[in-house]
Amino acid sequence: MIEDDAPKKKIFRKPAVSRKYCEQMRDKYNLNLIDVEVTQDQTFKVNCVFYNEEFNFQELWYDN
Amino acid sequence: MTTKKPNSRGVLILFYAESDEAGWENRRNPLGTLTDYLKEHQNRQSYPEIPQPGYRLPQIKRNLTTDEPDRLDSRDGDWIVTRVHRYSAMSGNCEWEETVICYCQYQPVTPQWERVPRLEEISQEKKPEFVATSSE
Repeated sequence: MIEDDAPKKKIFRKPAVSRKYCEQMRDKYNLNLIDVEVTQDQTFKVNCVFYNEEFNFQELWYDN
Repeated sequence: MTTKKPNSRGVLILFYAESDEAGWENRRNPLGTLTDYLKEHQNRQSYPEIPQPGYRLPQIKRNLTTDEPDRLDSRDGDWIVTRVHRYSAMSGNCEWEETVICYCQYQPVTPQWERVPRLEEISQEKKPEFVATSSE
């Protein structure tokens, strides 16, 4: 029996100062960008919504 | 055994309602024209997963009912893919290597909203610790 050990996919968001930033993160980290939502957060303008398998988030975490 | 070739420029996935599907008379684009366009996914993964018939389009919405200022919720949406058409780029300078059109039917389900976590929350275990290293 072959076990399904494929990495799980997750929907997650990363706040950003612009929609363009979402596209830049999409390209830089080879992500699947499924939505961009406007936010009322004082610091950021949008939430980039990604749907990806778990990967090394470290670089993306510190990318602002 | 065939080896899967990595996709270098990614896949643009467009979701369209099948003609005359629910809500067609109210579905308009920013120019005011009737449209069947629902949503798109912009996938730059090296091995992007192409939606197949039966795939439910995720729905995302802002949740203004909590104290969290920019909370988003997601759920499996009411639109389900019925057929998939794939188109490859004709030239090397196209922004996307492939465009996929997924046609969808409206098949509503009971909403089960879940909070969308921030990146920092799901990668807690991977939070980097900066350790000074000496080169010898």
